[in-house]
Amino acid sequence: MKLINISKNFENFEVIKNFSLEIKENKITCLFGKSGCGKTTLINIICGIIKEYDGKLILPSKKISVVFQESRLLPWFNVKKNISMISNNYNYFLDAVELYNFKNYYPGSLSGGMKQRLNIARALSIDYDIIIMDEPFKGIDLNLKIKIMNFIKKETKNKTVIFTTHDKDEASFLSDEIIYLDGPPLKTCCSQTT
Amino acid sequence: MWQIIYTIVNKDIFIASPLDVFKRFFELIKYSDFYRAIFFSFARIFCGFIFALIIGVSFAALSSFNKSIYTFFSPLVTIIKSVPAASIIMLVFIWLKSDFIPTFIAFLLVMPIFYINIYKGIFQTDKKLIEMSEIFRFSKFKKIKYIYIPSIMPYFVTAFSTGLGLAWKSGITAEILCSPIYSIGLNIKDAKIYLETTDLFLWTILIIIINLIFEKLSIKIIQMIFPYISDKIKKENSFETD
Repeated sequence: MKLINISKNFENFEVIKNFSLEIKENKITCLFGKSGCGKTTLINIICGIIKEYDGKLILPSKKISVVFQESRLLPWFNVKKNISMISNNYNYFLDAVELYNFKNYYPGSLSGGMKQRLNIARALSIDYDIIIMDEPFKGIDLNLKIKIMNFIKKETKNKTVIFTTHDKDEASFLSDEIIYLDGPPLKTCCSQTT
Repeated sequence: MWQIIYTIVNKDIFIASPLDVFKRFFELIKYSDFYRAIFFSFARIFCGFIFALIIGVSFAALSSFNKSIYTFFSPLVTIIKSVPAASIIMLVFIWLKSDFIPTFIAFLLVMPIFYINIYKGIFQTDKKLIEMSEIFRFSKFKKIKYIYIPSIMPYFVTAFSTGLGLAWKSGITAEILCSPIYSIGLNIKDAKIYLETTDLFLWTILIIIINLIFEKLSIKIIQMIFPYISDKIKKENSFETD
């Protein structure tokens, strides 16, 4: 996956300026940087939410899945329906994120961490070649975070994973490569293979 | 309360006695004309209401996705909304047979309510959920079923409830002014001419009851078809975990 000279402004505010990056296929790449450096804007460009930008984005596949920073669940449907409407194999994924027993609950009754777990389960349950996760472990407690990170590693073998975080432990535990970012405007500081 | 006011005023011409109204009800139910008046008024108003629902919802949906339809339809709705009902009734009186006027008036006054509410509902649908549906490759049908319809539902229920009340009010007003045969409006008009305050009270109460029954029944049916609009169902299946 290649990003070539990507630029994006929001009302004269340059979030990304001539940013280029190559992401290795079938690896887990962490985009590591402080909050507000432009990671989410970059993620939104890659997954197609932001359609207007300068530069070129080369994607090896159109089959993309996303773990959003805000869970974006349908509040009028319960946990089971939120995931079953996109995947038939929902029991397996709900069990993996320890939400099986909460499948009849509505998003409004779930804690932030539980919503995020459902967000992860939903993204992993569809057919994809690239999965993008924007700060996926926000609000999830440590033990469960480790369990979910192991599950992600297992589930995303031979898939391209891009995830953002500002937590060093998450970055080093999960990723094959960490790309350190700074900004705005977004720039690459260095990269590290773990 | 009604009995207390009646006792204080103590003039049958101003306030009818609750007992007299009750007695009059049991007198009237013996005559087939009573049922005919209710049936035909209901049919006229219901037709106007249903047409208003279909046209209002359809054009709101079209306006949301096509700017030129919105540009054409939106000022029209604003004009219809601002014209006094009595002016429209008098104008329509020249064009249509008296039997159709209540239907047309109910339609004309209720349609903007559906149009405005549904348009607002579509417009206020969470853009982030739409983005999510695109990422997860929802079909158009799935997007409408799982995102747009649930988002619009609270606006639809509000329009339904407000529109139904308005349909009855405007429909009966039109009936009073146009006096179609077999109508609640004609009975109210006769009651006013012959100073039959008891009949006037009885017909008014009947309108309120019919409207209430129909509204409650319709909302129940809507909730059965779309259970997610009922907060009660959500609460029954969940508890706070924080």
